[in-house]
Amino acid sequence: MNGNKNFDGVLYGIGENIRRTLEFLPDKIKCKVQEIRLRTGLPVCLTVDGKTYFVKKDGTVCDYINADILKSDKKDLKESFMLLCNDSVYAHTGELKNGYIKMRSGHRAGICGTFDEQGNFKNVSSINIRIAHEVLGCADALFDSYNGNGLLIAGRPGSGKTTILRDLIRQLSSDKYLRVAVIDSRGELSGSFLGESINDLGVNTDILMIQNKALGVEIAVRTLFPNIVAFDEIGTRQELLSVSDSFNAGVSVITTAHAGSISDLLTRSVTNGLLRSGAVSQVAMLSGEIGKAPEILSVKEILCELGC
Amino acid sequence: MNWVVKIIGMLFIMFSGTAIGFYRSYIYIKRVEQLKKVHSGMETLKQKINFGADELPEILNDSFKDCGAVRVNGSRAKAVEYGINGEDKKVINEFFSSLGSAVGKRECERIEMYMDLMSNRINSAQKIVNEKSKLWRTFGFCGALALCIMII
Repeated sequence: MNGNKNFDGVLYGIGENIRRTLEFLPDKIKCKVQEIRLRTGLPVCLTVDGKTYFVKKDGTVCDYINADILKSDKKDLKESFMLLCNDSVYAHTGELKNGYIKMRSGHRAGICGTFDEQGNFKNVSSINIRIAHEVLGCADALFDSYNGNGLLIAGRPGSGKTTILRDLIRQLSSDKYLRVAVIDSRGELSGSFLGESINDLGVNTDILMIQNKALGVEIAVRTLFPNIVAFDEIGTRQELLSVSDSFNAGVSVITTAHAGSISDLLTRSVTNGLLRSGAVSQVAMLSGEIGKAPEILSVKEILCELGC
Repeated sequence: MNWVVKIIGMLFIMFSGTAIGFYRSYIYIKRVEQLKKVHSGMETLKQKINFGADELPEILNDSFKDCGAVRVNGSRAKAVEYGINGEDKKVINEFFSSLGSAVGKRECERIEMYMDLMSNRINSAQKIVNEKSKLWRTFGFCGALALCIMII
């Protein structure tokens, strides 16, 4: 039923025409929906358990396209965009420059459109609403094998990296009483809305909402004296430098990265640098299969196997 | 007895004529007052967007709370004919119709543009006040006086 709540919680950001149909989806679908995709002139798609389904006009779903498929037009997308922004595009400028809008309850909507030379955002062409799921206990296996040092959680997009990171933070904070500083640049981990955290991140967790994660790590290490700094999606050299600095300051880092395999991690310069910096000692590879425990690998072993 | 009725009637005409004159005059003054309040509301809104970047439902009501010509409902607002004329209403509604749809700096520039438009309207409304306000007050009194003389 919590899944239903999550689904209903994002409907405020969808234009009335589409919303009216989505409201009538069966509960068993609603609680499994991971994404809602709207594209100009194209069918409304749902991602359920990693697969794409199309919404029919009668409020049911199917996995093939036919005449009864519900389509979203330009007007629906414009309306949805303004609803997501709460009629205040200016208040979301920073987020839009990064291609998303932070929604209430920690959900996130990816936005495609045009930033013109004057800095205006227009012609919204697609919206992808990602429904964040808080799954208590999903990081049990990882929690048991976590050695207290740096950890990188890797997996394909949609494999559940953020969900597992969120639960691991909660367990480390509430079960081991470790001081965890969370750098939540997009509000996805905490689900913060108007300063209030919706998701449970534990009793000993400080949440720093800051767009610049590298700066966030520096601030957290300097001012919050954490045992662990956690943030989602390491992606820039600056973030890598901050992580290395915090490692040298005796603070462990837990972060995530997009990667389909270990070789992907070694191919990407930032993740490669992270593994070689010594700031992480374990890598948790997620398969993306529901209920399957992540594969925990030692960074030393990974590097030794490659002979580096 | 007849002259008492006449005097009461004349007093009534004088009072009504003067009141009508003052009322007509007040309409022009009220328009300037309301336009100034709208202008001030726009200025507040611009500052709030510029420095606070809160969403419209949180700042719109605060910005226009003293302005009778603007009705706010969440993130939407509309002008009503309270002291302002149809043309003013059209301009203000045009301002509200796409409020919030531009990114930060552009939104402030857009508000500034409408503030300039409002300033122009305030200036022209003030000119009308200078020209017609005194005229109507005098006309009301003099009209009533003329009527009284005719009755006598």
